[in-house]
Amino acid sequence: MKSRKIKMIAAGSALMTSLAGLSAMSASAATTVPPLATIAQITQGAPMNMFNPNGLKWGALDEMPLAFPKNTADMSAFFPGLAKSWKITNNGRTVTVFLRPGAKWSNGQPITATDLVTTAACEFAAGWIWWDLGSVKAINQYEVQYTMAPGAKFNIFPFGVLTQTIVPTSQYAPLLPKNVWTLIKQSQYAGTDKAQLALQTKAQADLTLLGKKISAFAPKTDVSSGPFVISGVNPGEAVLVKNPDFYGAANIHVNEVVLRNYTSNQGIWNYMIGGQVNQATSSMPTSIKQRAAQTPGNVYYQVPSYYANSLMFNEHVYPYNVLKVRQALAYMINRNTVQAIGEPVSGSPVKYIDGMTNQQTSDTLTPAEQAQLTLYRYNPAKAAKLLESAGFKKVNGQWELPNGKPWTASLYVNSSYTDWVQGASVVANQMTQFGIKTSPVLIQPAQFATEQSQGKFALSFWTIALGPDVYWAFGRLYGGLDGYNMIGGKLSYTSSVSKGNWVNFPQTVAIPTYGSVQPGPLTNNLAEAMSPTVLHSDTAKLALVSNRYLPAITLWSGMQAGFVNTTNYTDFPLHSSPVMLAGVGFYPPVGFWMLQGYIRPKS
Amino acid sequence: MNYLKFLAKKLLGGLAMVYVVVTFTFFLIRLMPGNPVLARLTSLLQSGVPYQAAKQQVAAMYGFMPHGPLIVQYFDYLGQLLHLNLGLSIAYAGVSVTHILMSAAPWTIFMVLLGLFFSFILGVAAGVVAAVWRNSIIGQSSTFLATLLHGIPQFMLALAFLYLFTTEWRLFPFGAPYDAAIHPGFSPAFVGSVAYHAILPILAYAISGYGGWTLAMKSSVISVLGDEYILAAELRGLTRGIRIRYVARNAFLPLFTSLTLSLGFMFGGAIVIETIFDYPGLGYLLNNSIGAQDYPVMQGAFLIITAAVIVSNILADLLYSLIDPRIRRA
Repeated sequence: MKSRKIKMIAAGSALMTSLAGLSAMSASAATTVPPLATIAQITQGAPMNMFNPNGLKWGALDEMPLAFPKNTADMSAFFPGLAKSWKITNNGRTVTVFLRPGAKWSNGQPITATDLVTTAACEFAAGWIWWDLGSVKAINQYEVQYTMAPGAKFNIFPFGVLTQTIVPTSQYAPLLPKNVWTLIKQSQYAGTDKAQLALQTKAQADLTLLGKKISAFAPKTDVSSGPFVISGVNPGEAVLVKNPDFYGAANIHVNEVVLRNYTSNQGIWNYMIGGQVNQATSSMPTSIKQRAAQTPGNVYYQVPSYYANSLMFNEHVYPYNVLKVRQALAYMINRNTVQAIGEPVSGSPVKYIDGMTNQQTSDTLTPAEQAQLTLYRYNPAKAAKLLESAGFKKVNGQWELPNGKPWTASLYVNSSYTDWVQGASVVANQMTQFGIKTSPVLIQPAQFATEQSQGKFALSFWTIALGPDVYWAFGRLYGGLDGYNMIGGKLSYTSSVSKGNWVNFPQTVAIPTYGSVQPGPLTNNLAEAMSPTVLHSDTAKLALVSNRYLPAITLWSGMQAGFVNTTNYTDFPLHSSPVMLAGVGFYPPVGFWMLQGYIRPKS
Repeated sequence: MNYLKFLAKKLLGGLAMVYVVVTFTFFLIRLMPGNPVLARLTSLLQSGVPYQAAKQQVAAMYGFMPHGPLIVQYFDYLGQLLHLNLGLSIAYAGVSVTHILMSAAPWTIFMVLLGLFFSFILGVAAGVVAAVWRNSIIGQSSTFLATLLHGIPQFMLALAFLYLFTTEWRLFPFGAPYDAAIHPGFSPAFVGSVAYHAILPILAYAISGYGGWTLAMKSSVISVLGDEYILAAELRGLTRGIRIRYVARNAFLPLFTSLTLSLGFMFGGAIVIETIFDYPGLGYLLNNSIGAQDYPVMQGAFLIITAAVIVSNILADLLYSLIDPRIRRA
């Protein structure tokens, strides 16, 4: 009996020792050569395919674009990628790309013009061509010519061409039918011939099926054009090792990168505080910033970012279709307080409510144009006067509509954005204190997007002023969500909520200096106009429209805030330009930083 | 013959129950507000993609816009189910639900099974101690500890573990089931890595369940201790060890049903623990699929949970008669 007990104890001890040993072994394996760690979203079971919405491919790590946009107001500024150089001719309608001779895939095959043509075919099928591509022609092994579709006008066509990420012919060509280019041509037919239209319908259906096949494609191995290639993936992390075939391998000083999965800001904060990643950015409260700053090796950084969180109106709903109401709200909301609570670490209150961020406004408007904008400084008394002049009354501290009914409001926010939720609470509180009883309502992400597009929210939080292109910024206000869409090459308008117009801004408004303007067509013109003078003038008009008529009240502009951990690695571009530090908009930015020669292991 | 009849009746009842639950969840899920495909379309429009291109991209990704009549969708779903086809995920466009569920299930089974094992064994042992020596310091401490742990919500315990052991003191990793640099296989490095990554979730699961088992066992033991056959055993002069074994065996019976049902619920994963530790099991998957309104994955996960609970219920009925001779004779 005694000996059985001893044996059991011995076996138990052996098991514990071996487990401890194994753990130590795995821990020591991880610490011998510390890989560079950063964060990424990794989807369980997703394929290594960039056409899949959750595909396991990461820009500037295991996939490369032809060029990297500098992410500034100048949309024609790039860093070279797979393209060594490019030539823009025919008034921006033709772009000729010259590939780097000697660039290879991680399977050793050269990257050639064929890969670019294959990529374009896949993009057509998957619906990725948003930049009016008409045709693609391989001139020789390293030269490809892209031409804009006949009749189309798009001033950032070169941007669309150069920011394409290229996929390998060896993996994707087998998915494409031999007649893929015939189908693409048929699908682009713009005439009225019935036979051709019938062919077009069939071709579009065939391409949709092909697009689905491409999106679901699951390659067995990662064929990379970037500095790294996937060596292992599990649902929580991905390990990428240096790609010796990469054209710039000599410039890469890191041998291994680990991407750690995150599903929430909380997860990112844990990684930052624990010093478990060498780089991560996240929206964060002051307490988290202070706690993460205490972690050995952590260095805080922030870079400007082009977005502004806003209070958005649905003008299909009374009383938000009344201009004085929107103006009154702009005066009664204290933007400084909202920003201080909503995004205290990396936000800055918006100075001009003009549909752009502070940075965009100063980049694009002259001081004289800025002086024309109303500042809407916090002034509850002025707000009250505006409401009274519109027939509203304040009775026992509560505002009533002109028909005598109490004015109450619900402010809808996407529950997954903690900064929105905090900001909305402050706005709701300020409105309630002002006499408009307001409740913030938290909605699940998928439900929020759907119901907002269905016009169910009179007041909601929304991110606008997306940059750096002003067309993207104003497109958020006066584009598809305000009923303007390009259909069959022509700008069409619908006022119907059921067809996606939940903004319902007036089609024509009058502004000082310029008189009567149409914001929808003006916004579209920002994409089509080739003249800088016209672009500037249209931007100034739209800023003035947004400032006078307030389709949205911008509250705070965001910054990208994060930490790098320098315990094992050094030479992060912390003192470089904001463009470099932002990683030209690529996420995670470490791949781009390494391409530029940054980040070295500490000896 | 009677036994076979009993078994067939149970199985038929189980199948009917699966059908009812499948139907109920099908319609319940679709009553959820929001539409994942429309949400994707809106998100593309929001990022500046023109309407036609966005529509084409969504059609290419999902191949459908789920707005057919509900009843048609229902019969289509049942038809596919009869062919054991759970369909394709919406959130993970193009990936089969079976593949997604099968890649998540092993992590849940591994984590929950071990957590349940430890919490049950330790809880039952502590329950016996707490009951037999209930007037001593050991017994009272055991009861106090169990009450305390039973009162701490699972999410608080998990969050505390996460913060303390992965962030304050970096003793354990989180967010992955193993080190991705290690090739999966039966190698010491891989097994060690899996164990190392699972320690915290298992510990959190085991500790959060421990108090419940202890208190249940204590109560059961105390009730058995009052039975006359225990008094008789004592009068006959049987040793304390033998008497405790008698007591433990009989006191265990009420816990057996709970244990079998817990095994069935195992397939639901430990939603809270898996989500907090980003541990990629079925609970984590279910939580994410609800957030993304991924109907096919939700339905698949609910189907597995339902089937597992019903099967474990049937097993509990069958096994109970084996371990308790009184039921068998009845």
